[in-house]
Amino acid sequence: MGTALQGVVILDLTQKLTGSLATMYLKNFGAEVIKVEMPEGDKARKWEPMREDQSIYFNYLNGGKKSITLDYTTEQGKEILLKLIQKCDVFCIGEDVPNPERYGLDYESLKKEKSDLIYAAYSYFGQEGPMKSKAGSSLVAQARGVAMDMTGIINEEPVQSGPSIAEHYAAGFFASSIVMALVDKHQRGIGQKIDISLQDSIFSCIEAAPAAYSTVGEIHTRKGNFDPSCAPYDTFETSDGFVSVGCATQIQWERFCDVLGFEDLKNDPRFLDNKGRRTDYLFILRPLLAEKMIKMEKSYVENQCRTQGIPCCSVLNIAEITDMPNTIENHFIKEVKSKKFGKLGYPTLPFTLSETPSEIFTDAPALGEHTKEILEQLQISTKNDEKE
Amino acid sequence: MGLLDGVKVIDFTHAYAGPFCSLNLADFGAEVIKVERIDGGDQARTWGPFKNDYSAYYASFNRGKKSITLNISSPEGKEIIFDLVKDADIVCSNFKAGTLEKYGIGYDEIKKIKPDIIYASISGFGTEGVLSKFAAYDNVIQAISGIMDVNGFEDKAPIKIGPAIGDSYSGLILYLGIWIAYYHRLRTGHGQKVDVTMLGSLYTLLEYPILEYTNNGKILSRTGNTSHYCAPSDIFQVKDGYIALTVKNDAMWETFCEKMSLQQLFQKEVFQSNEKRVANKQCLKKILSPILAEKTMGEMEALFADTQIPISAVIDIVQSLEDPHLLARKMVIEVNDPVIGPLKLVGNPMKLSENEPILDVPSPMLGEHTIQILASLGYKAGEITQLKERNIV
Repeated sequence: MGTALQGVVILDLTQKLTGSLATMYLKNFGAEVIKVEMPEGDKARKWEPMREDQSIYFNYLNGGKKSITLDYTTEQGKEILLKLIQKCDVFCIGEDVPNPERYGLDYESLKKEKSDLIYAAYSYFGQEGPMKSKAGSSLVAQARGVAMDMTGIINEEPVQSGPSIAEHYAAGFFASSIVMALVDKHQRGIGQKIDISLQDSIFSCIEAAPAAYSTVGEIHTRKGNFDPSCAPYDTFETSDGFVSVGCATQIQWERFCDVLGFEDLKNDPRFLDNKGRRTDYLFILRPLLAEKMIKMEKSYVENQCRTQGIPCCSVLNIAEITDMPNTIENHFIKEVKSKKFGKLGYPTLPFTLSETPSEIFTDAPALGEHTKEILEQLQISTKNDEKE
Repeated sequence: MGLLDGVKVIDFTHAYAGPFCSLNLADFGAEVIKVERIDGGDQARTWGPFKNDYSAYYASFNRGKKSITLNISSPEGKEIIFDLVKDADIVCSNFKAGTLEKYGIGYDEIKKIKPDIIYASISGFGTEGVLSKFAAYDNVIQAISGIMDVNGFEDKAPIKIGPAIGDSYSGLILYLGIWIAYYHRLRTGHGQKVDVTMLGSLYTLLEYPILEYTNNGKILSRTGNTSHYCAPSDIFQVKDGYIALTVKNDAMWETFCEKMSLQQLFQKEVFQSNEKRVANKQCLKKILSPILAEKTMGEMEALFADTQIPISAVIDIVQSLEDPHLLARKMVIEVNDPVIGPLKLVGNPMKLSENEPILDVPSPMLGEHTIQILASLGYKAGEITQLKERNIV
């Protein structure tokens, strides 16, 4: 037993979602995370959902971390930061500090202060390349990452992903890279620089699109809810909502027809094999299925398909999935008791380790809550540094 | 030297989720031995696009791995797995919950052979409850997780996120879990089990709607291409495609109006603060859409090049493969596949200054390394022939 990352100290200058989510993963597995906030604080401290002027969102992402306020753009603040860096393994910096060189916060400068430092940077476009210092946003990262062009209905406008997927992918790659560098430090005693970009991260999820274009010239763009490689693999409207179903094998198709009473389609010579079903699917098979499905209830379709091993689910909204017994049985959500907010519901981590369980920390630090404590540890008199 | 040089992974993954994870392990130097079914192997080998009768889909996610064919339900097949695991470090799989246990190669059995093994698996709906026994595909997980409901326009049907994120995201989370377990093993000598579910992974992508619902009872659903936080942040149709832009604050709004010569719009009371623009974002879109429709992507990008306003054409796969930035970041790579020939693939997004990923080894043909691997386990040529004749390998 024990926590996997015990003893690892992370100095975290990032704000908002990407960096905080990555260091939350690491904190929950035992690392110590010290948030360094400019006097005005992390922007996410003002993000919805709010209660009594405090952000539940921030509280969730930053549970158990420490907070020191420090204006590291001043000479005195920078001096304190350099002392803190001596005591940590990992230094995290985000896109909020677009020109770290200006403040001597680039890797080359900090490496001189601590040779085995793990310097982890994330940004919209990365530390190298022609777009390096261009302004970015979550939306623009998606637009430049191709995933947006692949989402939406054919011949209609592209659709941004509802969830912040560029940030989540980047956080996963960011946290993974940090642990990889920790392994390298453990084995070789060296530090290094990590450079993660939101654009690269989202581009990594575009499946076989590059292979399809470069081999046979097939352009993978938005195609609504169906998959062109097999049919029917789609989402249909029923009498009381939407249902998604995937028939990727011949046997699934036959059972699908049997269990929903689509004998006519099963026997239709046009649909005998997958090739026939996917030929002009949108204009031939889809309308026939849509006409039948609209008359059925979604739970009926779901139950019938499941008995036959056909992947199928209703399209649930956030309330329906959250309140589902499966969500509770699998601990996808956890009730915590917050000192600030009382009872709260938090999503849990999406992975579990059997020997080194993760811990959910309920409350984030108040802005600068640990400033005094940390400065004292550095043996800096707090009297002189009250403005920090 | 790769970070994972000498690390051996026994890889039971197939389709897309698990292979996405083990691809990254191979990129950083692990020896990934992919165990494939003797009758056709990984189901992704049957997925298009095809060139020279070979799956470019498979070739995309199995770079740098070795392939051994094996009937894992036979006693001899199981023996070979035990032999393989003896000096392995990591086992990966993405079957539905309970499948490897059924074959007698669950964590408890493998642990007896190799006590410090890291046993990593992805399942669909979770390991507990009635849904655990059901098979999952990406679209079905996107539907149940609540993702589809928050994706698309409020007055239209829910839309799936195009790429199969149910797979790649759970693969990424498994990768993170494996690294934490591996670091722990290096420091303590202890192995462990790493569990990821596709549903749990996609559900956490919705951190914001979950927090709103569980704590405020507010149900958020799809709201199109705009933002909750600032306006205009949207996608606009231009003459030759689409453009995404984000005006984050009042200073940017002033710049935006100035560059677009929209002084009159800037004077309008209803758009004078970010809050007001967010509240009136639909109205704002109606005004801006016809104006932007007269521009081209290039004109728009050039207009804002020297500002802090984030703007970009919505680039498609064709443009991306020639994009100077993605090329400079080695995010588009070319691999010479022995069957397909040259093909372009996505590079590795994890840029570590002391660890170049290995990106030039093509994916293996079915069973390409069977003989070599069996020989390394001490099987004699005659024994291997016999195993082949009996359809065990």
